[in-house]
Amino acid sequence: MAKKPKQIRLVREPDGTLTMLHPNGKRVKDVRVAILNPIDKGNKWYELQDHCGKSLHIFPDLTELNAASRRLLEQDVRERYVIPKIKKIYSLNQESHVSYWDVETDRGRRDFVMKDKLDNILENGKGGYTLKDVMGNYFMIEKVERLDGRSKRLFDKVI
Amino acid sequence: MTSSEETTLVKKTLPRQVMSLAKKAAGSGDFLVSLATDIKRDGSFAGSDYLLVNAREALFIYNGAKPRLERVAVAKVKEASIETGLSSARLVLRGKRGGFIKRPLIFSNNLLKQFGEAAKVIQLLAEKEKDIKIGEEEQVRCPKCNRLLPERGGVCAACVSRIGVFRRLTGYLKPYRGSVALLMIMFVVESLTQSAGPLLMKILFDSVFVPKELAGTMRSVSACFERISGGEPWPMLVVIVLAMLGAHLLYFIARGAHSWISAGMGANLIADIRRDVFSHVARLPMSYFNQRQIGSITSRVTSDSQTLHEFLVEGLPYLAINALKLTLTIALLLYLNWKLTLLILIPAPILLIGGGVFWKMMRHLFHKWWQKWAKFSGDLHESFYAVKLVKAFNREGKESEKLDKDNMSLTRQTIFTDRRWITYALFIEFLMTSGIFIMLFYGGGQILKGNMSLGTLIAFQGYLFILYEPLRWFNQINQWMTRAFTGAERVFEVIDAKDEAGQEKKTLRLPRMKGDVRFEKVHFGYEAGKEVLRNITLNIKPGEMVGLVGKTGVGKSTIINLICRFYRANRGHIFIDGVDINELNLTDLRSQIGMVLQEPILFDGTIAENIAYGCDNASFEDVVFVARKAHMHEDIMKKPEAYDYLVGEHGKRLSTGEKQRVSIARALLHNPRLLILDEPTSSLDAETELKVQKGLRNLVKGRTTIAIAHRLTTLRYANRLIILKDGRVTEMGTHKELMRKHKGTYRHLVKIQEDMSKQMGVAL
Repeated sequence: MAKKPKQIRLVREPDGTLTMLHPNGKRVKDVRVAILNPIDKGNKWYELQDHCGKSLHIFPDLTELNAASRRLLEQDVRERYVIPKIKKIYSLNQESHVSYWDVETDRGRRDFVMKDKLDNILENGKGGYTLKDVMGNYFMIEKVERLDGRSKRLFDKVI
Repeated sequence: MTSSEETTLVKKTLPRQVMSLAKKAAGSGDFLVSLATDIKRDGSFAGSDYLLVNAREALFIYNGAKPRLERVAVAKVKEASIETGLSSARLVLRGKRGGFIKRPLIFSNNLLKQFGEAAKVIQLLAEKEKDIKIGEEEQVRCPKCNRLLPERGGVCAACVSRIGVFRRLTGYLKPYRGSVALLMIMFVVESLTQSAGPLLMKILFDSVFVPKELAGTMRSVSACFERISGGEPWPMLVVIVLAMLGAHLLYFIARGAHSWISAGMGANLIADIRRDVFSHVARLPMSYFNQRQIGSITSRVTSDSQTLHEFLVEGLPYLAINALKLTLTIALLLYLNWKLTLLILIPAPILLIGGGVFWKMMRHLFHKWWQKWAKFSGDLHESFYAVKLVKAFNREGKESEKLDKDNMSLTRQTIFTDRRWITYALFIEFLMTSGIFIMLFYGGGQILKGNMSLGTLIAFQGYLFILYEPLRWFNQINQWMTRAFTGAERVFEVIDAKDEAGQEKKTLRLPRMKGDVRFEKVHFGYEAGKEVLRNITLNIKPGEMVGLVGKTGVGKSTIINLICRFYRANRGHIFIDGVDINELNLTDLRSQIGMVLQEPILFDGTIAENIAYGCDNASFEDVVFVARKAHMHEDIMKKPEAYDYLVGEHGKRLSTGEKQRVSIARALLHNPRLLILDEPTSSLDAETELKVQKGLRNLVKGRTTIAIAHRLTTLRYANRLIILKDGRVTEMGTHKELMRKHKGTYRHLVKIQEDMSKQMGVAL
């Protein structure tokens, strides 16, 4: 199982890649971060992989990493795991089995299309939803109740 | 909003400021690639970074208060690739030492294809390739309204050209011209006879039941009946009732005839469209299926054509009849009493608008109800299907809880939907009946004043329902037509896709293949930017048996796919008997290739039919002969129905070993010059494998064979083994030669399998 993450440090090389420094002195260049449960709302599990995708370390959260390493890891995660949180729904039109969304997210405004809702909407059981559009992009509504009245009405009409 | 630069073209118009910066840096505006990302480096959607590539360098322009340009000489790039994440991907350029040359560009899945193509272009430039082909354009957004499409290269429901689609649809009506003409006549008869009812009722009242001096309009028609009956009430009553009966009878005959004709014509019409679709789908290249979900293609044959059927058989006749009825009724009413007509038309706009609003709401409710129903039935099915697992893990209670939650959710939705529907139905009913009160109040007053006859009022009542009934549903026509035309467009899109024959520029016949296969520097990837095969060069001689060895995903099956020309190489050439595979006649090529796959594909039918599949001229004797060669005959004869044994859907009534030997027998009957064995024994037990091996030994004799196997025992008879790693050929030789390589991959794989066999107590 994973060694304590605090024993591991990450550094950014001048060429932009990440290098993992192991307490035993081992240095692995060009590592990347993967999340084992990227959609699940629970605590995230992380994995450091080499450039071929081979698992180096698995650890349950980032708190034990030093601040600099955590920042680097979070930066990589933000680039490679894009699940925008929907804050407001501007429009939501349902035509036949296809729904057209225009939303404001925590990363900016976006429009997307969804179909086969049964397969592409995951209810998290706490009034939140994860949506997957036709291109395979994910979006999240943390809590429908937190949306404004109009957004809630639009959401309720379709979902 | 999202950038509109979302097609797979790698040349898009970028902002002027960006272009001028790039032109200034590059010295010219001649770029092979010009793309904008839709995610910024900080992960936000506000703005884009840019990539421009010319023959010498790649320019990265980072957006900010002031755009910043960074350049990379393509000669420094060792590898240009796409690394996918969740909802995002990044374009990575690596140098000779493996590190990033520039900080990767990030983009969403919407731009995966375009940046994949861009990575390919950079890679080719880095390898000094001159022949650079860019993938075909595939729209993500509608080019007209910029709305996102429900699938790549799909149809925008809002922009479907209704006239164009309608014209094309009517093209399918040509073989049924006679039926269409007859249908039109029936529509007219139906409308006329239904409209005649209230009119005859008016004459009956005005000319028979009430004094003549009170009779209103339509005197000439009344006079006509008077002449026929001699003006006496009884004979007149008989004549009018007979006329009403005649009209009534004619109405039902016309209605029956129209239903009868449209049922036949509609079914034939849709059968024609379906035939066009599925016969074309079978000829489409594998890349078409690779880019689309099978369900999406199937739905075009089934649900889209069904939508068309509903529209053509029910919608269009409904529209035609009711339009005719409305016109006739309003004309008659205006003629009888224009003031009263205008008054009874007061609820019509409310009926149209109110109905529209209510229907929109109901549509959402029905949709939601359907979703809940689908969830409930899906979970129910899953629960029953996995009953053994549920019991084994003591999950009965939890499963019941889950189903009960679904059930209650469905119940709540059903109650809500039904109550809303009742409200809607009552509202419409109320509006329709409220017209009667206007009619009675105003019309009654007119009768009392002696300005209108009782017959006219009764005729008005009859026409009122003919008028309101279609108005109730007319607000749905737009939606109805949108659905039908989008469905038609989706169907036509498949019919218009370029098939494999259409993609052949010229073909060379190869009636008798020798079986010489040569790969020359072949590169291939299913997705842009992700190469599966890299620089493959190999030569397989006629009659030689070659084994392809390597881990899962190294490209073994891809080599097979290219030999069968299911896909074309991105770069390099493949030659069969010295002829470029792309120039060969596809039928000649595939008719001489036989395949035995890991998962044998059988059709619902008898064993004999499955063996003879694809060989229409095979005699029963031939079938038995090949079954014996495939060591299947004895097992077939153990079944009472023998060769007439029905194998069931996908061959489910046969064991995997039996299915495999049926497919070997099929391949033997096919007598291919080039045989492909794609892990045919991987899912079999040792005893069954032995039987299949015996069949295979007969099969490979005298033909070029390319075999893929994880179990290296399958390859013990191979003349040569080709070892693949990361899409490249790393080792090649006989078993003995490869075993001599101490650090060789093949030797390593053999060692692993020997160790596993020892552990399992089975000698390799």
